[in-house]
Amino acid sequence: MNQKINQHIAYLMKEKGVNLIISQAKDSNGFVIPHFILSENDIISSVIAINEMRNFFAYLNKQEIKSFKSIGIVCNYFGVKTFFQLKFENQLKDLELFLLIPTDDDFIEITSEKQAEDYLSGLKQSTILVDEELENVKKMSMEERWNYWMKTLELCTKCYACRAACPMCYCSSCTTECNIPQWIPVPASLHGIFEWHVMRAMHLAGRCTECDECVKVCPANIPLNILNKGLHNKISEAFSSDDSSIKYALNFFQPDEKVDFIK
Amino acid sequence: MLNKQIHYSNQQLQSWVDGLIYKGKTVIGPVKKNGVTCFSEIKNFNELILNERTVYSAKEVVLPKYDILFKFAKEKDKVFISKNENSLNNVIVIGLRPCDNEGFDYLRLFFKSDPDILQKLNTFISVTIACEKKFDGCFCEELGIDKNYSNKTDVLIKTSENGYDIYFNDRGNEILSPQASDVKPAEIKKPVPNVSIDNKVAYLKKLSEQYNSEKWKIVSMGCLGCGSCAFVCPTCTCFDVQDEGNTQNGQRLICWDACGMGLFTKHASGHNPRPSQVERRRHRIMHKFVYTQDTEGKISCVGCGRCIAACPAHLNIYNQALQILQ
Amino acid sequence: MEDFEPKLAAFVCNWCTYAGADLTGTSRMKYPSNVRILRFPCTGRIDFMLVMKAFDSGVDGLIVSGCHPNDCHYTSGNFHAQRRWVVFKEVLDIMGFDTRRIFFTWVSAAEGAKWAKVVTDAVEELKKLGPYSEFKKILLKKLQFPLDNKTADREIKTEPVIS
Repeated sequence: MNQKINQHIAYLMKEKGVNLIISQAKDSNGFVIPHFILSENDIISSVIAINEMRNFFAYLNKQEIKSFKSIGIVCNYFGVKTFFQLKFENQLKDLELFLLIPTDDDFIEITSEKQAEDYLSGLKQSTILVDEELENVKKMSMEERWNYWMKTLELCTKCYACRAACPMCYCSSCTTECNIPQWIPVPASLHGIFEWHVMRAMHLAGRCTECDECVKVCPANIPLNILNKGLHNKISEAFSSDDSSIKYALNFFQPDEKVDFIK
Repeated sequence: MLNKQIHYSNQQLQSWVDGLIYKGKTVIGPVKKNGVTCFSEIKNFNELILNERTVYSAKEVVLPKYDILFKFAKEKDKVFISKNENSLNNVIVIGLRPCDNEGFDYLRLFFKSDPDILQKLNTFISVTIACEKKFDGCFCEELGIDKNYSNKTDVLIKTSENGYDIYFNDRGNEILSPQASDVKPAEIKKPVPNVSIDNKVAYLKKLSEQYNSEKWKIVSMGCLGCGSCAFVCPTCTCFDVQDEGNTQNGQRLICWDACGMGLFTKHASGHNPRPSQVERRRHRIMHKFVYTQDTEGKISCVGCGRCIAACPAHLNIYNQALQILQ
Repeated sequence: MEDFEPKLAAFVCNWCTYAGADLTGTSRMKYPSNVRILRFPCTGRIDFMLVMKAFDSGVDGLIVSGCHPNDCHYTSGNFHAQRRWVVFKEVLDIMGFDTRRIFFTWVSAAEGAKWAKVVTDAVEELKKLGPYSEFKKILLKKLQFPLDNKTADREIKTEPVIS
């Protein structure tokens, strides 16, 4: 991270009592990895482009990390979006968070919901690549789409990396772990895989921040962002064109809503 | 023991593989599916991807991600059980790497009392390709595995000038069926006792002294608790037994399980002896480098580096072990 | 498919459609017997996973029905359900699942005739579509009776163990 951020991290640790900073670094193979700063000696300078940066908010779901209470996170646009959504869902109650967003040779610090909202309203991340893929899938006929997904899902081993890396998957006990009844078949057969991905997409509908962590961590390259983006589009089209109200999607309704396919 | 040698040109290698498929053998090799290299049955030589490390290891051939043990069905007052018998007769696995062979060697030790899996492990014929270069994150040489040679395979392919040098044993002879005039006796490579490796293995065993070290907290910080490392590992054997179906019919399956997941050790009472990622990560590292030294007589990490590539945080299991020992 | 009789399940709410279906019966109106009715407290209770479970257990189609908007016994259950179905239908659509086989309707307790029509139409539609073999293909194959060589897999040896 750049000089100014590193100086600020040192300041946070010394003056503000922050005892953990989740920063980002590149390892020898070029992967972007989390870099945990526990003391000032751990501070390193590294260069990662802002669009290469990952969203490490999933670590806040770990009890061991939560116990640090006062945590700094180096993130980009999607991190702020995640912060905003998690705040809305009352998940960051006991935590004091410092978001550090690097810019060219400076940084932005965000600590409150208000600041996050201001930051997000001024920016709009483009998602052209996903849009194109989604368009391609939507153009297919039903049979083609089914075959396309069966082919892509075939390699899934149900390692649940998509669940582990997702900052919104914070449930302490997942539906897949429930066995009375067994909602999701345990074996990684096409059937079990299909139901898992349907369930994952449904439970993230209207909450997904589109950081694409699930795609980045999937060993089987499954384009889960197509599903996420498709649902995002559907929700904003069907319920409200205003992006900010999407956070209410499935636990809120308008009495005058009409749905054409329910006869 | 690879005691014979033959030389193939590029063309000959291709026609040999295509010939095997034509003869009705099941040939499994690394192919690209959905942008991911993995082991799968091939229909012709050109499908093979021989210059990449596969994302998923070759253990899938023997231990698929889910496998049916038996099926059951009830009719009136009778219950029928039908055992699933799938053997690996006629199966040739091509494109293995020396580390994959070490992995299979470990599986043979681990499953020594399971006749079904042991039989599977001993039936298929393995064709190994020597690695010319290191792949991202590989550390097999650190653990004493020769990336250029493996004596645990039936056929070994090495790139040489204008073609390939192929070393094989009697089982390899069956599938190669070379003309007697082409075959040369191969120089038998005697295992050289490697003191530095023995020292390293003994050094890694000292991890058990660090069982209560505070450093485990630091190395486990990056672990998110998914199962990707275990599912791509050539030596991870843990599975879960599941019954699928209803009261009338169904099946018993074995499905992969991973020690990184919280549910792995959770008791029915709700108690979890490994309550957090600290204990789970420690168990994984200790199991790979320490515990199997006692139970199977060797460390079970083969240094293929697949887990490093698959891990969401790209944790390096070997570096972490060394970090603990420092 | 002339002689194909589709298996049809119906998830209905206790307060409206279940009573509506009851009215259909007491009014002596005829409708196909393919439908198996499952009673739920409210459409808001119908988790999308229950829809998946219905297809797992081998139905060819599914009717999901409850009170008309603003008529919910629990005030807002059907509004929540409505939003859920919009999203769920989109997931299934993107994944190429045949959503023509899921029939969403509102049937009130007074609409006995509508219920008969909904079921008749659904069965007719399903007869046109045929059995949902695409989905059944991904389910794990079960042992089928009679256990002769034709139905059992070749590798499978069958022996009675308890008799």
